[in-house]
Amino acid sequence: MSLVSLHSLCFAAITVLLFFLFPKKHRWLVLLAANVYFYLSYGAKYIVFIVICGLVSYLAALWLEKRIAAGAQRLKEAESKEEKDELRRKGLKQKKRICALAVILLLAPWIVIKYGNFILENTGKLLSVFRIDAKLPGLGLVLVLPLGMSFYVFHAVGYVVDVYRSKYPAEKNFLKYFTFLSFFPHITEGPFSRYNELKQEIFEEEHSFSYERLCAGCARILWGAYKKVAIADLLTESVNSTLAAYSDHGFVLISFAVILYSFRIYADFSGYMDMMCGFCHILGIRLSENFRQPFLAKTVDEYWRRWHITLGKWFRDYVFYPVSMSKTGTKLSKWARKKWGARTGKLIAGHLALFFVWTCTGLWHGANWTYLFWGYLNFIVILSTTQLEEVYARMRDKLHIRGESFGWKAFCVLRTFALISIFRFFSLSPDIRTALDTIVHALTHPRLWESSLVLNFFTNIGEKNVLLTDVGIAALIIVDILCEKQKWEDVKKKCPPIVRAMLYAAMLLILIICAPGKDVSASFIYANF
Amino acid sequence: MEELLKIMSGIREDIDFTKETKLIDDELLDSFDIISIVSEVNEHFGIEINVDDLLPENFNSAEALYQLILKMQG
Repeated sequence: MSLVSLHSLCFAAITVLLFFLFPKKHRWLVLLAANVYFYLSYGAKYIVFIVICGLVSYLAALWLEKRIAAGAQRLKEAESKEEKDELRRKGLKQKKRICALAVILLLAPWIVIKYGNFILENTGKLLSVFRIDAKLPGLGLVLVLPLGMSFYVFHAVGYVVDVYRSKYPAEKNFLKYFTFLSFFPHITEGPFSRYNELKQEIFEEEHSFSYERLCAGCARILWGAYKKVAIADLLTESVNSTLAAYSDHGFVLISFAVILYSFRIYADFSGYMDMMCGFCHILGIRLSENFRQPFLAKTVDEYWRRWHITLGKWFRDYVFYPVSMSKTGTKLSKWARKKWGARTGKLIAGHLALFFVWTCTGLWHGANWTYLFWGYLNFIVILSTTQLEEVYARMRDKLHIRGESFGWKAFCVLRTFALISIFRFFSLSPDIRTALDTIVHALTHPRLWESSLVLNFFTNIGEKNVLLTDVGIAALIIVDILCEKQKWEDVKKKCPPIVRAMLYAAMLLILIICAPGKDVSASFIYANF
Repeated sequence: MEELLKIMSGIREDIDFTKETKLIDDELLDSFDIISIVSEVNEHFGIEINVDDLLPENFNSAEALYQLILKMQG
């Protein structure tokens, strides 16, 4: 089902209507039905994976909770301290085993489908280095990743680990849990939600109909659809064709294409989030925000706290903390403290964990060395930022640059944007060699005269659409700056209703003109991860 | 409490830990700060705060963390 289509509009309208017509207590059943319909509309055969994933995580959480309760009871009955310590140790061991088993069962099918070929291919290459000609079974088998699997598997893992950590009790009603897991606004591109938070929103809130929320939600959906159709989709062809034929172009056009690619992916991903958050807002459900003006970040580290926020938080809670606070991490930290002093000792466990996080983040985006390399580039830059913080501060002092000055802040923002754009060469290219070749080619072929061809770049978009894209990108930047300065809400309030109505009408008109005939369903970029 | 405040201020001297009560909710502490604090607190107080204890309610203020330390020592 295309998200910017009459079909999805009808689907959303019917869901909202039924949701508010149903008795308050049973409204979540409408969402469950909508989730199943949404998932089935993308193909019936893959629903079996999400059902199994749901059952495994649901049963594992119940099992964990049973163990935790039994352990607490035994602890209450124990008399001596030694007995209590022994019970605690045994209980923890049991809990860990159940949790590990569930996580393996949840991740295994996802790893096989998403990384099977990558692992087999590289194992074969590794063996051939040792002159072993292994005929690995299954190599070349095309396995299609079911819709949203990278998201719902992580949701399920997060849920099981949270119950293991006793953050909240396990859900007793499977249908309620499955409503969370298959919740269509977050299943294809996130955000990564936590069960306790979304449970509150879906099952416990009052959800009274509100006209104000309906208007605000529709406005956000419209803005999201506009970003998707008038920016992301219109830029796709020009950007892709320019980067694919990079050897025909020089620095100016390649840089221009990569900059526009950054805006394209932002408009695509945040457009989707706006549509889903807007829809949930109408229902009175608050979905976690995934973006906070990422292109205004002053460092790469900050950028990742503003872009795909919930993925970062997921890796922080389920990879960064467990690795950095593991026994190995603690031992390493103590050893480094003795060897290199307190500061480095303190950071070393964190950096080890960060390395794991970026390995996972890279691989999560795709089974390709390019993504892994892209992850490590981010890791190296973030690592150097923290390690060289004092050096940078001294350099700034020597150059008499005030850290708080507008000029310095603007420089930092542009520098971060440039770095992120350079990294994109790797996530965009089929292999690392092509990415490096493109960068080297761009740097060695300035072709400044191509500046005049930037206009030609837009001819691929179509003369009429150039204005739409330009206005769209300008609006995107202005809205982000206003949000950053916390003035966006004021601007919206002060805007006369007639102007607002005209703007919405214009956006709607553009959507009607642009959307038909375009296969917009094909590529919400993050749905492919 | 004095010792804990000293440890926390040593890691983030720009934060007034006697007043802040939303260290996690307002994202004043980042993940590196948290693991640094945990590592120092574990060593100094001879306890073992582990990843399961990393709940916002335990780290939102110095007082909350102090209560966690007392609970673990008890």
